[in-house]
Amino acid sequence: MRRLILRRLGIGVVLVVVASAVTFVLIALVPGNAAQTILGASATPAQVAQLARELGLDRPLWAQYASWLGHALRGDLGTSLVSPQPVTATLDADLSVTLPLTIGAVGTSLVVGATLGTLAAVRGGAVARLIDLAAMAGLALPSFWIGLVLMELVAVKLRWLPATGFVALGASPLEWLRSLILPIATLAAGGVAAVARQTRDSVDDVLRQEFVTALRADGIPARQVLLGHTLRNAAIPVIAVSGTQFVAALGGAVVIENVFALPGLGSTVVQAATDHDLPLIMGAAVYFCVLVVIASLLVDVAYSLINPKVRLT
Amino acid sequence: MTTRRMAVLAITLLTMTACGAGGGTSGSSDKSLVIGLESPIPSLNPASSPVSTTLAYAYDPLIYWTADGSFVPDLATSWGYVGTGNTTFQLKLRSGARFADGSPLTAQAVVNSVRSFLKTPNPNLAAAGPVKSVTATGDSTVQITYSSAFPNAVQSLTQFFGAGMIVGPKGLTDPASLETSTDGVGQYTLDAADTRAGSVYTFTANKKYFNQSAIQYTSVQLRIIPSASSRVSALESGQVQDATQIPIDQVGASGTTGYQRLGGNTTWELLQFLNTSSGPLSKLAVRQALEYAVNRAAIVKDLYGGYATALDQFSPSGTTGYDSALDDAYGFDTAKAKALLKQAGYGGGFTLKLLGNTTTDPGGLLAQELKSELAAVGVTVQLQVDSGQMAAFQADLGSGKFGAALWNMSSIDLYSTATQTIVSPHSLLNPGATADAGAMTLLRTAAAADGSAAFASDLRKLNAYLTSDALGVPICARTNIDLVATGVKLPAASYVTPQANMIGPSAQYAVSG
Repeated sequence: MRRLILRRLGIGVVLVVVASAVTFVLIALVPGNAAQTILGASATPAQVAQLARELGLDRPLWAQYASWLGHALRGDLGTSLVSPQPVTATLDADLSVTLPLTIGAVGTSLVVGATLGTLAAVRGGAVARLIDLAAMAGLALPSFWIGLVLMELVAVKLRWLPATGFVALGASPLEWLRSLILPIATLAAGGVAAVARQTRDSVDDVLRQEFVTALRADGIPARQVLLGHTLRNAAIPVIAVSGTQFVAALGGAVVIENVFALPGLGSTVVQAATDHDLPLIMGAAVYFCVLVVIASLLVDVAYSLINPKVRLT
Repeated sequence: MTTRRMAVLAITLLTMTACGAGGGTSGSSDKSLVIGLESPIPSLNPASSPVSTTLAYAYDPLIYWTADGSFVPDLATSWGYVGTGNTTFQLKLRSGARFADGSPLTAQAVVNSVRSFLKTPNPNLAAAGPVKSVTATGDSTVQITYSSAFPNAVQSLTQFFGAGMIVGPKGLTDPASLETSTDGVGQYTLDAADTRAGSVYTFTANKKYFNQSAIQYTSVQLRIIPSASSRVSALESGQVQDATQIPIDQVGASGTTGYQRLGGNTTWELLQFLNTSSGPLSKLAVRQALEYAVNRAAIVKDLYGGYATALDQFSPSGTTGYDSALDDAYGFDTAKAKALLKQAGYGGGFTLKLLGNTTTDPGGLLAQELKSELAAVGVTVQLQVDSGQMAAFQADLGSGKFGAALWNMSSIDLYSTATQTIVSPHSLLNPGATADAGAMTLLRTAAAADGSAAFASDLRKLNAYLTSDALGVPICARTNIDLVATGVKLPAASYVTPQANMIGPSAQYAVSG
């Protein structure tokens, strides 16, 4: 297990460095720079060039990247070029929004999706068809549309939950939870559908296996067969799906944060890209990569705990 | 799940939803105002922020620009040019005003603040004019000297541009502190505990403010809600009282009928010719033909749902330089357009490379409409619509590949428009640094105009010149729409204040209720 974790972490570090280099090159390919953003449309080319020199944006690309990487390896991701805030402070604050949002969405996807999928597999018939239909709808409908519909129904018509905004956990735990319910429900919609379908197929497969028939023949109660044996075996592919769900949720957060006006990583990335704010974009790319690496590692660990074969590879 | 568990879950959910029914921040009953804005405030430092009006809650300007276009005292009680030529400008400051840090407003404090602004890279630098020096000529008098004639000194020191928003000594000593606290002579101060940069900015009433009767609310909160439909939902659910910058497709939505609609012309669309020294566009008849080819009334109706005004001149109604005599300078006449093209030797048409952008023309819809209208008179438009980055658009403007560009003008007088965007060399739509001699002469005359009446007269002459010489095709002035909850009393909106001044040096200029 330890070797597995160390190997995955090593791959993760390489991934972060490669991703940061690719991001750096891609940003450089986009015309313009932060100097133009800071000075606005009325600035002359000479003024823009002067500020670009002062910001070090006229240096060769490799030199800029080497300088950034050197600082990043020491834990210094720099300062935003547009708003004079340290990048780590900005992204840490954003993380306090994006993390509960994505973890909440993945958790909801797993719990609700697995429950519905199991129900569909065990009950079959009309219940299964209904769940399949709902799962198809969850996959097909765009998340921003689901978000706007939920907002209209729950926040505007019923006034049960706030339409927009985020309340910090420290300010009010209850309001924090209330501010996240609609975004989590929206972000989880697609995940619930995916997990439900995966769970249903998986449970179906396990229920057809000979050891389940043998357990039933031995007189083991159906509930015990399902909870104690079937679900444990059916969980392996579902856990694999949860990793991709987390990555999908991180990507989806960009849209959902915009719809619900949540100040998370997604909102910051969009604004930073618009402003050509290189340090902030690079910092966000690193944060996203690290989150993906951690999620993959956790999935690998969980997978290996359930499936001992993995520990041997 | 047992019935008991279900009941506990239901009670928990009901408690959670009931606890905050209504959506969070309270409304006007406790005299707080919540405003939904589209974009975050990049910096809370007036010297760095491109959107100074949102900082006016904490920073009074030297001079206040009202919705009707007049200038009234704020931190300065009187002002004016010294001598002739518009190169020396003096202000006399109010006595008894104090910054949030407790220090008094003095001439030296103003000088230090303006100097700091001029040293800080920011988008409002051009609007500050060619400042040569800023000096304190007494305890309460400040003199600004310009290196060349600058007729817009008054405007440049209002709430629309950072130079006139004065920062206190403590804030200037530690500029980084201005991102988490405010240090102005303002009606409100930033409540850092209830502020989260990029998301929510809360301002609470300043008990040290020199005119307490001007303060209308105990707190003002600015919430950043990027999505327009979400801003409308926030208004409908009671989270905000003012949902700003609502697109016309949202204004007409079913849920918006119970709200006040505040609208003022905010920007205007211009098809600017980038090269009038060679090719078809060097001929006046060709340029005028394109003026006649554009059906402005149809664009206003079909593209902007009536929330716009057709424009035949370079200065919309309400701006300095506007001339009602030019209201119908061209009109829509395809027969005349074709005749002019034939007269210029382009009866068979020609190809025009047009550069558009989605920043000011979402979806490139106006660009597409112009393409089809110009095709009707035989002009083939090769259209490129840049999306996203402003810098990419500027790079294409300077590439020399395009004969015309579509841009959304936001300057509030023709002098600013001409110097910053269309006439002066190296301005946005004149990247080739070519100067139209006639326009430059008129611009220099206006710069040195003696008094506001002469300045307005000179700008009308410049407007007439640009319009008759058809150096571009003005299309329409667009209307900004805010949706505002009933009960909130709003000052008038205008071209000067399209989103309404939410705050002012006396109650008559500010939002209330």
